[in-house]
Amino acid sequence: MSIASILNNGVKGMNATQMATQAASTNISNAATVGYTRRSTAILPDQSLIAKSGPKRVVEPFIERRLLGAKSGSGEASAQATAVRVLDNVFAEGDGSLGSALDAFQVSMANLGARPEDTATRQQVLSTAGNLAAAFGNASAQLKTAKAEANEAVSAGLAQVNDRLHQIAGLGTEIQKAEINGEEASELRDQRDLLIGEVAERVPVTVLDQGNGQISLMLGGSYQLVTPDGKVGELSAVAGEGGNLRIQKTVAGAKVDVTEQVKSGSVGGALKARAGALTEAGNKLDQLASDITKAYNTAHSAGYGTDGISGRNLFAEQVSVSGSAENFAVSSDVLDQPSHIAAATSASTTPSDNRNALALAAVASAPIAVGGQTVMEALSSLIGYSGSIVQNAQQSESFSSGALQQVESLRENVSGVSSDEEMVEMMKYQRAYQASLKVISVADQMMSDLLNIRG
Amino acid sequence: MRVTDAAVFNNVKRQMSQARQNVLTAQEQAGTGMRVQKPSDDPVAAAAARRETSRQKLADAGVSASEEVTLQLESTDSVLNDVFAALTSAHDLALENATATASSENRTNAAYQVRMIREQMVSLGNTNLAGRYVFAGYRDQTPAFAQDGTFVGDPSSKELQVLPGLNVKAGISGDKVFGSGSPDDMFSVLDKLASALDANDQSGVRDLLKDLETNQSRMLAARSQVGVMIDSARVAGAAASQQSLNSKLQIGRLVEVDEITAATNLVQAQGALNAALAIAQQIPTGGLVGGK
Repeated sequence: MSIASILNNGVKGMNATQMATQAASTNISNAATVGYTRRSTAILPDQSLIAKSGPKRVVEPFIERRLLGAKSGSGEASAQATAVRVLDNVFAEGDGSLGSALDAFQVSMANLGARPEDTATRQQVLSTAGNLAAAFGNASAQLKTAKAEANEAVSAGLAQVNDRLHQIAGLGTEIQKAEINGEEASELRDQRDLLIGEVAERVPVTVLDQGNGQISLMLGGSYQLVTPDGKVGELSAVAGEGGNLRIQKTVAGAKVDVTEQVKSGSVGGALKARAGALTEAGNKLDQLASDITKAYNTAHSAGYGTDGISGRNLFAEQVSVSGSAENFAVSSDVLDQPSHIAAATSASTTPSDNRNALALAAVASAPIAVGGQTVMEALSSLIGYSGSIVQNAQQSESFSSGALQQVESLRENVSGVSSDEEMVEMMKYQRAYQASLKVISVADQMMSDLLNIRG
Repeated sequence: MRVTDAAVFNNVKRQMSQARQNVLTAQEQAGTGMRVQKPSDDPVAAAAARRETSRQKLADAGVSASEEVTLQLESTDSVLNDVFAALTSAHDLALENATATASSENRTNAAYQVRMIREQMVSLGNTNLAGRYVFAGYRDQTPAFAQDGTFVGDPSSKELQVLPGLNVKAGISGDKVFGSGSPDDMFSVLDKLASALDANDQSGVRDLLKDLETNQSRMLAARSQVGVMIDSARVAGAAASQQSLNSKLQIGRLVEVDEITAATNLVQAQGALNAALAIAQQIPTGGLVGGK
């Protein structure tokens, strides 16, 4: 052991503690930086490794995997809740709502039974029938808009995913180059993890670390979105059955349907809401409109207007159940013609005969809808269904948000910055630095003493 | 367990966000008095409230209908009362002139009075209330009887819906009150009576007493029927009124929030928010970094 080696040890110690202090100071200054992963130094006995590789990012791969899953789950639930929330508006009570329009229409039918000869009462039937048509049209339009918005959310989500995939691929190459040259690439890795998290919020992904700075980013575990050599497989949306979108990925120049892989993330949530609750609510609304049209037309066509003519429809006939709500309208047979309202059961007893008006009023309590329900029971069921869909979606959003926060807390526990902890680390390294200085000072003194003896 | 700076702030942020949401919900409920404003607030209650709202609207319409029917039937009953009084007068005249004490002049005067009663009967048979001929059945826009006493109305009894599935009769047709087409219908009997009186036919007048009593019996039966109809309309109206009230109460229970609960919830939510805000102010911002 020479005095020079003591001096060398002192220098090594100073370097190591400087680096450790730098890591702690970086951690403190990034305590509030989104996506920042704290750096840690491990000073080995020979103090050489630190100098070679620098501070390391403190990450737990298991938690990182869980975080991606939680982000996809939260993104899905949030997108679903956003998409289906429109159902609350479609079926909420209030002026112009479907419920109040149907009430007014049924009351006007009851009034027609009381005053079949009164033109104003007949006009009221036409007005309320028109308002009912408007309410169906409005509800249908809101659902249509919500479906279009869900599709837009899918397309926008995919565009954002593709943009991030290219950034991730570029960062992978940069990280690989930096680390081959022995440079520290923690910041680039933080950026890449942040981008991967943003992709996971939109589509479900898994990360396969290639160990050389590059990764393989997989969609649902089956399809590569970013390859280890930095190639990107972009996702695109194409129109599918019933206006629902299908997701495609280009594999070796060919388009492959990967919709089944997109089961979560905001894109998956929007797809599910569009194909599930919104379509189902639309189908139920169409069914209700169709049932009302058929039942009232059957009753109305059996009666006679004050002009003695029978066989007229009250509502425009529908070609099919699908689209019945959108196309729900007062029939041209009676439009603007109060005298064509068929309140009588025979031509000879008009206008005071109310027997067919009573038959029309009785439709309100007849089991004409699906499942033997009355019209109002069917609407009530639809309201209950829609409310449950929205409530479940909101609860799911809340649960998945809580689950995400829990995993984020776990990650924070491992990878987050504690200012107090870093300050203690800095104090510790400050002391170590002072000790190393003291070593150099002592060695210098020893050297000086030795030279003085010779002189 | 490590507790990081971001974890502390995120936790407080989450608590404040939740507390603010709770205050907003409590404010909405206290401000509107409504617990259920949209289906997702309580899907089961919203669905049930819709059914009850529909029932209430139809019941309200039924209350109006029953009031209209009751008024119409009461008017009809009043007309029947006038008819019965006129018929009784005719019967009294017949009874007075069916004895030997009545002179020829008495019978001639009585014949004139009977013809006046007959004309009154046609007028009563064609009574029009609120634009409707009350004894004309489903043809109530035109008179029920021709001037010669022929029934030209509709023989049906009109019905009205008071509640879904509950119809009540809204009148009685003239043929059931005055008789129509039969040898003993009221107009024919009065015609025969006037003729017998003009002819000073004492036995003929006496023979017609039975026909007059038959008409009186028919009248009483008609009044009885109308009385039953009035009762039915009132009972149905009361049922509709009760249905409306029940539905209103039910809707209230389903979607409204009582003021005490709303106020208590609001106070609790505001207390929780104040606590969350106080916690946020207590986060140690200095710590070792601040040198404390």
